[in-house]
This record gives sequence, structure tokens and C-alpha cells, in this order.
Amino acid sequence: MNIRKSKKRLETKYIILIIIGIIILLLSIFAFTVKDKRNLSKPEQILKDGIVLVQNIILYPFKYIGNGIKELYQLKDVYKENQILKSNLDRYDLLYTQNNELKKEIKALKEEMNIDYMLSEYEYLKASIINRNVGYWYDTITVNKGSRDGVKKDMAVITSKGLIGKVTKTTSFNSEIKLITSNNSNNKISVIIDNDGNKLYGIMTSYNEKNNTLSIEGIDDNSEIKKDSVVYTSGLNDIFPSGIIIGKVKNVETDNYGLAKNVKVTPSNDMDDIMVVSILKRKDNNQ
Amino acid sequence: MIYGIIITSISLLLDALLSIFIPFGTSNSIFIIPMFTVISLIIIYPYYNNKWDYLKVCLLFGLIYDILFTNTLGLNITIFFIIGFIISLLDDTLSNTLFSIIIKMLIVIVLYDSLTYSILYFLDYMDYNIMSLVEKLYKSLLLNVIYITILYFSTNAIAKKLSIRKAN
Repeated sequence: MNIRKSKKRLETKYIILIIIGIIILLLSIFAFTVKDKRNLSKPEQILKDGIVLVQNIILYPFKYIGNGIKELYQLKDVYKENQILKSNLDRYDLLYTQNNELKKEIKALKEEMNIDYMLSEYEYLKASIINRNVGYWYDTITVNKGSRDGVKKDMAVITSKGLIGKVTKTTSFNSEIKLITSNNSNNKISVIIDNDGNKLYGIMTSYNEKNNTLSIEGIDDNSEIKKDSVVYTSGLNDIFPSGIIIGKVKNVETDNYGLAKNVKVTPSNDMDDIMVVSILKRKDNNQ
Repeated sequence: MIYGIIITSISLLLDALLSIFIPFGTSNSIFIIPMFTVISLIIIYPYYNNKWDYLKVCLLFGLIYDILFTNTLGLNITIFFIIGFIISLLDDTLSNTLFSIIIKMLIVIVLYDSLTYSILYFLDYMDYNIMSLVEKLYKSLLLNVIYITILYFSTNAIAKKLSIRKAN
């Protein structure tokens, strides 16, 4: 009897040890897979595409109805928007000439300032959101364009209101976008604050969820930064082209040592209310 | 076994659908963070005769959850497995009345969020403070209580109609 009992206890111990071992193994796999720099493996891509396809087929009628209701709400603004567009149409020729002149000026300035990539050198690939991370902590969204459409990792993603994030992972038919509101330590963006024509460079480091503000650090300029100054990307890295609006200055704080300013910026986009985005593809990326 | 998989699949699809239309996840989040897939694991447990079959379903949906919503592997598989195991233990001590189900749901949500938060924090993936976790917890409650109540009554009614018996 005692031998049987001790044998059962030993078996239970083994089972517990195996379970603990499996948990450690799974968490190790997670620690590896959670890295933004990682590319999805082929089986993961196939699985993800397959599951998303099934999800899209089943949810299509619901999405159709949901979008229809949203569009109906937007219809009331169509007349007003149409009037504005009509009045803008008169200025089209003038703007066309101005645009050509500006293009030449930009080219010259770009060479002078040594900026690599500008917004005008990108084409816009429209994509719809197919799901958001339900896990809450990741701040990512998935869109319905993938590597087959030419989407690559680290491409900038915007809406008509400004920057929302960058592509972190792609499968053949879908891409994951990490939002700029993510509090991941790797999520740093070089930005410019347009302070009444005076350009101040800084690094956007973190997001405060409670106040809905992005933090810009590293500004050592003594000039006073005005509220509502526009903040946009500087183009000083390979990912984000210059000139994409991020938001407006909400308030300015001085750091603990009184040396640098910490600027709080309200994002121009409401990250909760995005349905369609544009992925910025560099024109020479297509080739 | 299939009845449980169907219930959890519907919950997973609802999670995906709500993620598109209901704003949550950032500053303006209202009191609705759906965790339907996770809490459906409580409802399906009584329909399994074999605990290991149930745990296999937990692992399967953990994997789908990982791939569909996080593009990672391992985290939700682990947490779903642990939650499945805890649910099986809770089922031995708590009855299957609606009140007990809601108590189990509270335990499961706290467990899920705390484990996710702790693991991501430990791996230096994020630097949220503990208040974010608390905020996430109370935001998860309202909608999920409503969902589990609906799920409890509807699954019971359908099971009765289809003569699907609960194992315990």
C-alpha cells in the first residue's frame, strides 16, 4: 500500500516537473518571439494568414453592417465637405504651379540639409484595419496588406491626420503595425517642433496613457516653446520621412536638473478610432 | 468536446469583431475591454469529461490567440494552460451557479492580466506602472460580466435542447 502511495507521489512530482518545464520552455519561446526585430517564420505566417482569412470570411457581414452604419453617420457632413472642395478647386491651377516651384526648392534644401527621405518621395498604400491587439499591452494593429503588396518591415504608417506608427511584422497578406503610443523602450522617434518658424530638434520617447500625451526629451534650446506648436518627424532616420505631423504641444516642463525641456504633445490621431491607414512605400522600394 | 470548441470559437470571433468597432487600448478607453475567449474557458469546463482534453483546448486557443492578436508565440499558450488548470481546481470547490461563475470570472481576469503584465514587465517589454494594471482590471469587468451571464444562460439552454450533458 505504502509503495503504491509513494509511487503515485513520485508520478505526481514528475508531472508537475514536466508542466513547469513546458511553461519555462513556452516562456522562453515567447521571450524570443516578442522582439520587434524578429521576422515571422513561414509556418507562423501561413497560420496567421489562414486564421485571419477565416476570421474575415465569418466577420464580413458584421463588418459590412458596422461600416455601413458609420458611413451613414458621416453622410451628414458630405454636403459641407463638398462645398469646401468646390471652393478649393478654383485654386487648383495656382496650387499646381506653386507645387512645382516648391518641389524645386525642397530638392535644393534637402541637399543642403542632408536629409535622406522626404514625404514627397513616398507612395501611399491604403490598408484597412482587420484587428487590434486584444491583449491591451502591445499597442498594435493588424492591417489587410502584406508582403505581397510590397509592405516591408519598418515602413511608416499614417492617416490623413498624421503619423500612427510603423510596420513591425509582415505576412503575405497582413501586417502588424506598432503604434507610436506604445510604451516600448525601442519606440523612439526623432522630431522637430515648429516653434514660430524656429525648428527645435528632440526625441520622442514615451507615451502617457492617462494624459494622452507623447513626451519629447532632449531639447536644450532656451527659447520658450509655445502651446499648440506643431510637432512633426525630422527625417533624421531611415524609418520616418520628414514632415509627418505627430501632434501639437500641450505643455512644457523642465527636467529635474533644469537643463533640458520635456515637451508634452497631444497626438493628432485618435488611436482608438482608426479604420483606414496609409503605408508609406518609398518609390524606389517597388523596383 | 466540440460544443466547448464552438463556444470558445464564437467568443474568439466576438473578441476580434469588437476589437475593430469598440475603441479600447489607449487613453480614451471606456469601460469595455472584452476578454470573451478567456472567460469562455470557465463556461466550457463542465462539458469535458477528461481534464486533459479540456487543457488541450486551452492550449489550442492560447496558440490561436497568440497568432491572431499578438504575433508572438508562447505567452497566451502558457497563460491559457495555467488558467485552464486553475479553472479545473476552482470547479472542485465552487459550484456552477451564476454567482460562482462570476466569482471564477473575476479570478480568471485578475490572473490573466496579472500574469501578462508580470511576464511582459519581467521581459522588459514595457514600462507600465502598476496603476495601468489596476485600470485594465476594472475596465475589463463590466462588459465581461454581461457576456458571461448571457453565455451561461444561452449555453445551458442550448445544451439542454441538444441533450448535451455536463460532466460534473
